[in-house]
Amino acid sequence: MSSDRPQPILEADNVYVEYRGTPPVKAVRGVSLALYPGEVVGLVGESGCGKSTMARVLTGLLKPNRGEVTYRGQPLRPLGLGRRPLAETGIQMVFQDPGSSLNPRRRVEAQIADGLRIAVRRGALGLADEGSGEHSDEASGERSGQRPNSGGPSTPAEWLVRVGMEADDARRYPRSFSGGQRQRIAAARALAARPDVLVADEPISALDASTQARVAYLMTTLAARQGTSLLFISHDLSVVRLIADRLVVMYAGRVVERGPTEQVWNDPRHPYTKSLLAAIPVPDGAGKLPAVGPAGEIYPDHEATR
Amino acid sequence: MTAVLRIEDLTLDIVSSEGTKPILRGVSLEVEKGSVQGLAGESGSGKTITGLSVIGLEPAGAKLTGRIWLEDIELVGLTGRRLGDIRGRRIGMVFQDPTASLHPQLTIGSQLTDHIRYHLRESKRAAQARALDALNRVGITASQRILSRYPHEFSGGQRQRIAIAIALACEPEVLIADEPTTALDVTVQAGVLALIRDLVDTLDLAVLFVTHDLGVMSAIADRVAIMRGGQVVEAGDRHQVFTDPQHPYTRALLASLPGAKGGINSRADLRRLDLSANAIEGDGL
Repeated sequence: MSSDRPQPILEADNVYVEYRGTPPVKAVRGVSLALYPGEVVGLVGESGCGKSTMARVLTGLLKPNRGEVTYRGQPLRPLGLGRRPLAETGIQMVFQDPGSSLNPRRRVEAQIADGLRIAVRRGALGLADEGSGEHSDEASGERSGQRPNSGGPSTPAEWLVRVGMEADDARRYPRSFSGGQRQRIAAARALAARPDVLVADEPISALDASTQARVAYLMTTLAARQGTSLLFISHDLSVVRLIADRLVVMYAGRVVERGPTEQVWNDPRHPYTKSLLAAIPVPDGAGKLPAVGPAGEIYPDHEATR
Repeated sequence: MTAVLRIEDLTLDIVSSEGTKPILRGVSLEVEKGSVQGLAGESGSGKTITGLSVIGLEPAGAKLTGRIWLEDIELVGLTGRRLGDIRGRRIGMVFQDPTASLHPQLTIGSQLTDHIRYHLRESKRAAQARALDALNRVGITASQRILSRYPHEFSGGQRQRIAIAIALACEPEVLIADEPTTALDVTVQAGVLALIRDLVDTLDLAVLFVTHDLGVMSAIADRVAIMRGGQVVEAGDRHQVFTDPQHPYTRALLASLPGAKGGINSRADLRRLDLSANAIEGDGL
């Protein structure tokens, strides 16, 4: 890690989360995770590994039992019942089920307008739009100051076009769209708020396979264009490895491996990461069964060094 | 090879007060002994309804025409006891969610033995022995103690193995597996897929394997059928369909998948994707 790296925009430091129960569930056990400006981080792992708990901690939806989250260098205050503090609307989320994160009784345009309004109130609309239309392969790290707008979408209809839909769709209600379209709308609403950070928790898992790569890449390019850091959480590595700059692998409440995507994908060091990668079925027609790990395997939970 | 299950020109309409909605439009398929016929498609393609129709579980208001043969028995129109004698006995079923298909308040032992005694009319003792065999076969080390446990005491992967044990306990010729690994983690899925393959090979089972996941399909199926809009648009040998797809829809589907030939395998491939929402629904297909 180079010393001239910018400060993280969002950072979790040694976070522990325990859910009440008999016995209590130790969902997260000492996880530290930093998100730098403009980068795409894939947080991967299987059910129960703690990745969604981390999403909730990083967005202030859940207060950790121990450890701290800092956003722009300030402690992130866990959300109460009230409105999110304006400064912290720079963190936005997209969830697995867009059907439940969109309000079924409001037109799509009104919901995207909510995002735009947040951006205006925070003074973030009119901020830099990279405008290149290309997803930069390196984390740009440029969005530190407030620069004049170079013409990003500023209306719900423009946002809909930006996410691959029609301007006319603005007048419709969420129910008239497919799952993939609804997830595009949810992404537009979140990104219209011009966040520094977008935390997307399994945003493509409920979508048809043919639309998964499209929606994931769309979210990545749009985030990159406006300098938003993206934390993309998924159990499915086959898409994540294509969009993420870095991968963080969680197992049993711990980070067991992290590193640049190509390194983790091509040369996994932790036995769990190895099993996870070997188990992915490939649609190549070869008729090869994915490798089965040893029965009852409990993997070491210390992080592999790289 | 001999086809145990033959679906011929199956058409299904849902008739309601709002009119007639076509769901299946002339689906034909054959499932052979010792072989897995994969049935893949996206949501709403009709793949699940096709599987359910075989066991007489088509939705209410469905009007079914066409023929489904289990060897020389015509299944369409079969009702009551005659259907009950085939469903669960000669055709086993496994569904996506074992928490829903297993009864939460009954021990797995009683679920297995009730099923076995209903179909095979065996003594309690014989049914128990058969239940233990069935569990051993799916990789769960069986004992009297295991039989007295409830579904919630098992992990998701083990529950799906138990559901498979129940489905196969009466030694059916055909297994209908509808997304049997979709709710499982990939590392657990790998084990269940290996188990199904092993059962096909050792028991000479004929499996109709329904899934949305073409990676899973590629791993388990011998023959593949791709459904779209209630029709089979392409069917053939697994290797042929994945490496030399003939139908434009199959080609479009594979072109949008990581890991597929001609699919999305690099960032450069991502950049050439048509990102509009109607990319795959687009015209010309």
